[in-house]
Formats: sequence, C-alpha cells, structure tokens
Amino acid sequence: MTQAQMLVTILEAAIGSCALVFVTFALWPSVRLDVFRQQMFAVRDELFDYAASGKIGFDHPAYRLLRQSMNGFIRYGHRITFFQINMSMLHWKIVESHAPMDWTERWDRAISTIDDADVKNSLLAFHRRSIMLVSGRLVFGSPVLLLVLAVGTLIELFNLGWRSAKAAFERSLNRTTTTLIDVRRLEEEAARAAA
Amino acid sequence: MADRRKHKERQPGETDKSPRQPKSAARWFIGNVFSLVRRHGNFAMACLLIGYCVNRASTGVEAFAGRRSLADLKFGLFANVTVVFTISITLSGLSIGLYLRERGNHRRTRERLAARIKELEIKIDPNRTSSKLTSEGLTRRDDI
Repeated sequence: MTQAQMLVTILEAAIGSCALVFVTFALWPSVRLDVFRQQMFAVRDELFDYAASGKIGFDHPAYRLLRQSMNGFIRYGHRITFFQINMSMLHWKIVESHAPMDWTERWDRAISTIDDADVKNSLLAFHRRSIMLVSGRLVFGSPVLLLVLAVGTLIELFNLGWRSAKAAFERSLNRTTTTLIDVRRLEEEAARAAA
Repeated sequence: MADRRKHKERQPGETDKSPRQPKSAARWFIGNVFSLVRRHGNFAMACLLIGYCVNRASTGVEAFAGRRSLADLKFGLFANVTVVFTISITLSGLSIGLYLRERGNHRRTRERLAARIKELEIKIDPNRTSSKLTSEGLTRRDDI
C-alpha cells in the first residue's frame, strides 16, 4: 500500500466513523422518538374514540387518568431511555426522599368503580398497550436491555414449550422492564408532568 | 418528568401524604449533577466519540508529515479515493438528505392537521387535555 493509499484509508475511516456517530446519536434517536410518539398518539386517539362512542364518560376518573398518563409519556418521551431513567432515578433518590406514588392507587380506585366488565377490560387493555409502548421504547434503545430481552425470550420460549413466540416475547419484554425499572414510578412522573 | 407540581385531580379532602425533607446543599448539588448528566450525556458522548475519531485520524496523518510535498499528496489523495467509498458516501448522503426532507414535510403536515383535530376534539370534550408538545409535534425547549 502506497503512502497516499494509506492516507486515503485513514480519511475514509475518519469520515465514516464521524457519520456513524452522527446517525447513531442524532438521527436514529430522533426517528425512534417520532415513532414512539406517533404510536402513543394512535393509542390516545383510539381511547378518545372509545369515550366518544359513549362507553365511558370523558369526565370519568379512569379515562382522565389514562389520558393524563399518555400525555405525560408523549411529552416526556425523549426521557424514556435506560440511561436517562437511571440518571433521573438517581436524581430523585438524592434530591427527593419521599415522592408519593398515588397514580396507581387512583387508577385502581377509578377502575374498580366501573361496573361493566367489557369497559373495564377495554380500559385495562388501553393501559397495557401504553405500557408496552413504553417498555418497547426502553428496551429497544439499550443494548444491555436488548441482551436481557433476548435471553429472557429464550427462557420464556422454553417455559411455553416452544409454542408461542409472540407470547414469550411479550412476557419477556414486560419482565425485562418491570425487573429493572419501576413502571409505576414512570407512570407517576408522566401523570404529574401532564397534570 | 422532574416537574414537581401538585396533582390537579386531587380529590376533595385528600391531603398531601408526602412531607418533603429539606434538602442539604450536598444532596442538591449531587442530584443536579445527575440531572445535568442526564440532560447532556448524549451530546457529550457524541462529541467525545467524534473527537476520538478526529484524534486517531490526525495521529495517522501526522506520520506522513514532511515526507511528501503538499501538491504531491493532493494528487495522490484524489487518485486513490476508491469507487466503493465514493458510492457509499453519495448514497448515505442522499439517504440522509431525503430523510431530513421527509421529516420536514412530516412536521409541516402535523402542524397543519393537529390544530384541526384539536379544534374538533374540543367540541366533543371541552375539558380535553393536551400532551403540550409544540405545534409541530416536537419537544418544548423547557422540557429538555
């Protein structure tokens, strides 16, 4: 290899690496954030349509709490990454010693006031979908969590006897998030932010 | 999410069950260090990596200092840029350019449609709550 060829290789590698850093740290997170918000907006719109159909009142606490939490996730979607959440948790632990977690309590109370089982199940399903979106955003943005997810999915597949890959994946995704991060805490913060 | 305002939906008669302890200066300082790392960690990491790439490249280039004339080197550089590299850079550049253009279009569409949707939804639910993103669907500066 001549000197000029070596120099060109060095410059090519430098330009390529800088471009890769730009894509990895600027463009890719921006796309992921847009996708997350878009999906959460879709769930929120479906919830609105559900309430507009008359199955639940717009002023029912369960509807308002669910919408409040979704609004918070949309607004602070850029902070839902493993790194940011760990830093926020440390910040909360050091600066605030007694942060109340009453969103879950109020949600459980509100859900228990609904007599119609179909409506109750539908609202729980909306809630589950929003949490799955948050879990997906968290896990797919972190190589560490992705590795945990892959191992967890394999274990779940063994547990389920190699029958349902989708169920194994969803269970593992849920377990990965709940084991490492307190989802109730995220909901609490999301609801507060949107209040 | 560190906004610590009280809940607007607090029930009548319900009291705040969270007596906050006064923060010491050290706790306040360390807590805010984590807050700063959270806020700017990504940018700092990207800058560090780009700096590292540039540093490695400059170290490599330094090895050639004084061995060849500048004119000679310029000619050699252009003659040795490979076709594969040229094509990959062109394609990547075009893809990124197209993506940025589409992203701009998407934002303008969101801005156009979101106001109408909001207006229509408020007619059905006058107490409709918002995600408080900007009209283009972006994060507010204060929320970063």
